[in-house]
Parts: sequence; C-alpha cells; structure tokens
Amino acid sequence: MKDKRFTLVSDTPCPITVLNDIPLVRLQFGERTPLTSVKKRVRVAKGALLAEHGSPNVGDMHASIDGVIKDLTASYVEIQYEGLPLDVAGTAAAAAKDTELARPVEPVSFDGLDEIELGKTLKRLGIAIRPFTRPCELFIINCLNPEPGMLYTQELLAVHMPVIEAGFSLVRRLNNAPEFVLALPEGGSASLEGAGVRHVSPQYPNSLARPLIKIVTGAERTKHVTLVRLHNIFQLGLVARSGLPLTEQVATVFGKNYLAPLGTPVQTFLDIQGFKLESGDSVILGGAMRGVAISGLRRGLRKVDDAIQFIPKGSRPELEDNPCINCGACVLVCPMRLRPNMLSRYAEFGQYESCRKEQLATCIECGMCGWICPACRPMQQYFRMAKLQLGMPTFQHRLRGQ
Amino acid sequence: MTQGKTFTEIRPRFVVDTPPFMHRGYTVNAMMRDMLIALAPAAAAAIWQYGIEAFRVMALAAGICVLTQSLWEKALGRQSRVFDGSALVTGVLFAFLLPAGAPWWLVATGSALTVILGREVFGGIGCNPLCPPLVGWAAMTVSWPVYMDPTAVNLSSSLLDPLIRMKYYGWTALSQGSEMALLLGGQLGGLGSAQIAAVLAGGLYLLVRGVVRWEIPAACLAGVLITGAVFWRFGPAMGIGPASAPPPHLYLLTGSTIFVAFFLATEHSSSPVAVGGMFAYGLLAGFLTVLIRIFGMYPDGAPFAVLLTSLGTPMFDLIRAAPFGGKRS
Repeated sequence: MKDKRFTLVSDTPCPITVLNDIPLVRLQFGERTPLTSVKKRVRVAKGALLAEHGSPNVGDMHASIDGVIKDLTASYVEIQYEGLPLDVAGTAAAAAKDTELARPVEPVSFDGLDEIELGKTLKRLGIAIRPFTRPCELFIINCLNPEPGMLYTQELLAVHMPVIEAGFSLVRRLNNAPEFVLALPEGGSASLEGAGVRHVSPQYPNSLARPLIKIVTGAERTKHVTLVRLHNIFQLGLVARSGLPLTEQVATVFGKNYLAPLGTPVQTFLDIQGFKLESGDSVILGGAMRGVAISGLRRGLRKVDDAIQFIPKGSRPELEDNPCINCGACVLVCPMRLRPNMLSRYAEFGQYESCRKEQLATCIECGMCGWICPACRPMQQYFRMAKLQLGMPTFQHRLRGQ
Repeated sequence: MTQGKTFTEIRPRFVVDTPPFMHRGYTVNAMMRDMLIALAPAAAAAIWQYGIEAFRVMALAAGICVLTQSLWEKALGRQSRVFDGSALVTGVLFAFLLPAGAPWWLVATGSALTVILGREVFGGIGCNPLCPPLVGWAAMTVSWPVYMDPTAVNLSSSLLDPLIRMKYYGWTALSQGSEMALLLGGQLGGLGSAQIAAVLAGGLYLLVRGVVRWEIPAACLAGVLITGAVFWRFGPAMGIGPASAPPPHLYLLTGSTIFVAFFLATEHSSSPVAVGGMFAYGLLAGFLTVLIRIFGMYPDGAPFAVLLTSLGTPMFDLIRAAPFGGKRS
C-alpha cells in the first residue's frame, strides 16, 4: 500500500537535543527484581545498579540520574534529582541515607574479555544481549525508522556514527556471523567497516523484521538471520564508548529527537516543548501502528521505547466491534499474506483453534489491516486476544518485561 | 467530599485505545457514498428515459429497504446499522434490475425480501452468502415472471427488449448498426441496468475510488467475451444455430451484463477476497452468463450466473498464496 503517511524518512533534518538536569525520572522494573538496598530516601548515583534480571533478553537496570529515591512501588522507582553525588568519604546531606548506591560508578574496560565474559559484562551494564549473541548466518542492522513518526535513524547515522561504530565493534566480538549487512533507506550513504550495505524502500512495514529479512535475503526464512535495530546498536555503542551502564536513550518525542535519561517522564517532554494536551487526545508510547496508549503522563521512557507520539482527538474513526464486510482490503495489504478478515472473525467469535490453523502465529501485528479496515474493526486487538488465548507471545508481551 | 482528587477531576483524560492509531480514513459510510455517486449517472439516465415511473421504483425500493432493515433490527434487538447507508444502496441496486413499470407491490415485496432473505437472516452486512439485490430479483423473477418482464409492463414504450428478440428471432433480427443506440440505453430492460454507458461510467468510478477491485469485473467481462467468441466462432460446428450465438460484444451491450459485472458480482460479502479466486470467480460468472443466454430459458443470463457463482465463493477463497514462509496449514 502506497501512502505518504508510511514514509519512514524525513526530508528536513531533526537534530537530536541532549536532555540533562531532568528533575525526576521514573524507571519501570518490568520483570527485573529490585535490589534489597533500594529503599525510599536512599541516595543513588547515576549508573548505580537498582534491579537485576536473570535472562540475557533483559538488561539490568541502573539509576539514570544522580538523586534520591523518592517513590518505590512493585513496578517502578522514582528518582528525584539532587545535585552531584557525595564523595566516597561521605559528607552526608541531612535527610538522605547513604549506602553503597551513592558511590560514583567506575567505567569498565572491555579489553581482553572473551565472548561469554563480554556478554555478561554488557548485561550488567544494562544491555539486552540476546539478539547480539544469537548464532546466525546473516546479521542485519535495520537502519530504517521502525514506524511512521519516528525520525531518529537518519540523525544517528549522520551525527553519531562513532558511537554506532563502537557498538558494531562489540557486535563483531559477540557474534561470529559470516556476513553483516546494513539495511539503509534508499539514498542513505552510511557505511560500516566489515558490513555490506543494502538499500531498502523506506516505506512501512518494510522496517519490520520479517518483511525486511525478506527484502534483504530474498527468501522467507528467518531462522538463520538476526535482525537488530539501529537503536540497539546505538545503545550498545553508548556503553562501549563510556564503559558505564546504559542511562540514556534516543527517542522521537512529538516530532523532535532527544537523547534523554532513561525514565524521563512524558510530562517532562511536554513541558519542554510547551505542548498542551486536551481531554480525548491519545498519547502513544512507541509507534502509531504498534504502540501503547498511556493513561498518565508520569510514565517514564523505557529502553525499548523509541518514540512518544500524540494523536489528536478525532483524527481517527473509532475502532469498534463492527461486523466485517469482507471487502478484502486487509488481505491485499497484509505483508504476511494472511487472511485478517477470517482471523479477526475467528477471534471475534472465540474460535481460537481456527486462528491457529489460519497461522495466527505468523502475524507480526504491523497494524496494516486495522489501518485500512473500512469497517473500523480493532484488528490488532482481536489478534492479541486470540494469541493470548492460544499462549502465543504478542508484540506487547515481549516489551512488557523490559 | 474526599480530600484527594476524584477521578472526574483529573484533567486531561486521555483516550486509551488499541493500535493502530492511524487510519486510512475510508469507512463503510464513505464507500456507500461512492456507490451512490457511481449509481447516479444511470439513475439520471433512467429518469430521463422513463420519467417519474423510474424515480417511483427507485425511491420505493430504497425506502422499503431502509425501513425493512430498521424494523428488522428493532424486532431482533440488534444494534442499528441502517445509517451506514448499505440498505439504501442495496435498494437502489435492486431497483436497477426492475422494469420501470413494475407495480408498487412487486417493488415493495422484492425490496423487503432483498433485505431480509438476502442479508438480514444471515446476520446483516458482511454475512450474506449471495448478493442481496440478486436474491430479491430471483425471487421476483421466479414468482411473478410477467410483472418482471420489461416488455409486458412497459407497453407504452416504443423501445424493444433486445434480449427477447435475440432469444426468439436470432441476433440478426437486431437492426444493423444498433450498437450505439444499445450503448446509450436505447433498449428495454432493467430500468438502470440497461443504461449501459452510464452504468459503465459508474463502474469505472468505483474502480478508480477503490470501492471494488478491478479483478472481478475484468475477469467477468473477459469470461463473457471469451465464451461468447468461442460460441460465435464454433457454435455452428457444435450444432447451435448461427442466429443463437451472437458476436461477443452484443452480450455486453444488451441486458444487465455490465451492471452485474461492476456492481453485483463485486458485492464484497459474496465474492472472493484473494486475487486468484477473484479471477476464477469472474471467469466462471462470465462463462455461465453466456451459457444461460444460449441454452437457458431466461433471456438475461448475468444475474443467475452470478448467483450460482457466488455459491462457490468459499471454494474460490481457497485459491490463495501461502502465508509468509510458504507453509500452508
């Protein structure tokens, strides 16, 4: 489907603003377990370890600013900015309690580490290392903006190439794939030593994993191919260059690019831009095609969130349980060549096993069917519900742990 | 009053909804509006040709369809969908198949049957296995063939029904060079469906707007032309009198072939959704149209051909590419 709204490149440059001095961050634990020393009113230094996770898919969590833990619940920790950390000797400020969390964090050296040790070290620095270590025959770096409304990849390639190179050098150490490919939008000119270049039409959903793998390899086999977003390479690069835990994140927020501390609340971005929201608007964490609508503005930016978008009231017809009119528009537009018309009706009427037979597991939740549906049916919602019933992982599920 | 903020005081309140948060913006209502625009030229031509008679039939059919659907939904306690415009469009489509002089009770009964038997008994829009206007048309044609015969109910008209002439006197009975007159609607038939040029213009508008996909009309017309050409060329060798197998273009210029191919065969719910299935469906519908015209007892083959072909839609839907990865279930 050709639609100008699906173009994934911008003609005008969108420089990345670096945000410092955020008054408060809220860090979501996800599936990580907080350390026992993390308590209210404890002073923490930027980079101090706050929560851990056993899986290589989830990086550990660190304080992203210097400050004092203001609030702590089962799902998040809030840190309020309070100037510089104490020196090691500990000339204490009055109210806050000082523990080892307040000690400034020392950079780690990656020299001489073998593959396993390097992976472990990076995980402790907050990197989800699983995609990098996955054995494969082809390693693709996806340099397309993942979804419409995200604008950061061109800027990263233009301005932050040294960071990406640093990240890529670690990738080469973690993964011994015989071939590395940089998937660039048409007209893009970046290059990495040791990686081939493929130009791809910058049109959604070409930026999603399976369609992109098909374009690059020409085959519909994803088993021996690893695909990583440029975003993740950039995160790896930040850690590689500093040797410090991951505390920053690049994201497109309301059409502008930022390099902001992890956990920066949505409200802070609104304040910076002087953006006013009305009742009935939607605020989306992630892309407009696959993201999550949030109900409160204190939600902090997670490592997996590369965009915050704003959908004005009434800009989209309401999605309701309207009957499918069987027009076939979704069948034409599905990049996975599924039959969303049948899938959604099976899910709607609770025939989940039929969904499995119609290969629901192949669905990548790109949102194209819901975008085009003239009956305005909540297609993705049906598919997620059916996947949940069948015990298949959904896109949101995979993000929830982060 | 409680100390803290109550829920209603929290401002602003955001809509928490399901993705995608973008929409193409083309809804069923817009689709039905485009259908009405596409039907407008033929409706105008029908009124120009038959006067208030044609308007009477179209208005009555559309009104009865809307009324029947709203009463049916009320009686069954279903959510009303009458405002999506599909009942209105169905009514006009049904009226296009009727002769301009159809008596009011025939129009009313047919319209009610179109909505109830054609669609609502199966669950409403999107659930019908057959094209609703064709169901109504078939019920009327079988029940009151005389009142559905354009020649019989339009006695005052000076026009002729070319289908009858071709059926009983052979295609050579049509005066030479009458193609242009036929194209411009100079024939008796369904009040809208016989306005060939106007219907064709409306059909092309539907294609341009993307309401219907080009595959079905193209395959349908190709099916008619190919089968017609085969019988025209080889008919005498097969023992069919040369007068019974007209040149293929006459199939398109007479009766409701064009109207059915663009407006009824493409009815979303009763037609296949995958490209391969669409071609097979259209070709079969075209093939059956010619077969019914030559061998059947009904002079206009297209409506019954599409009704029959629609029965095979679930089969045609099996003609499809395998999902990503090439693994079939």
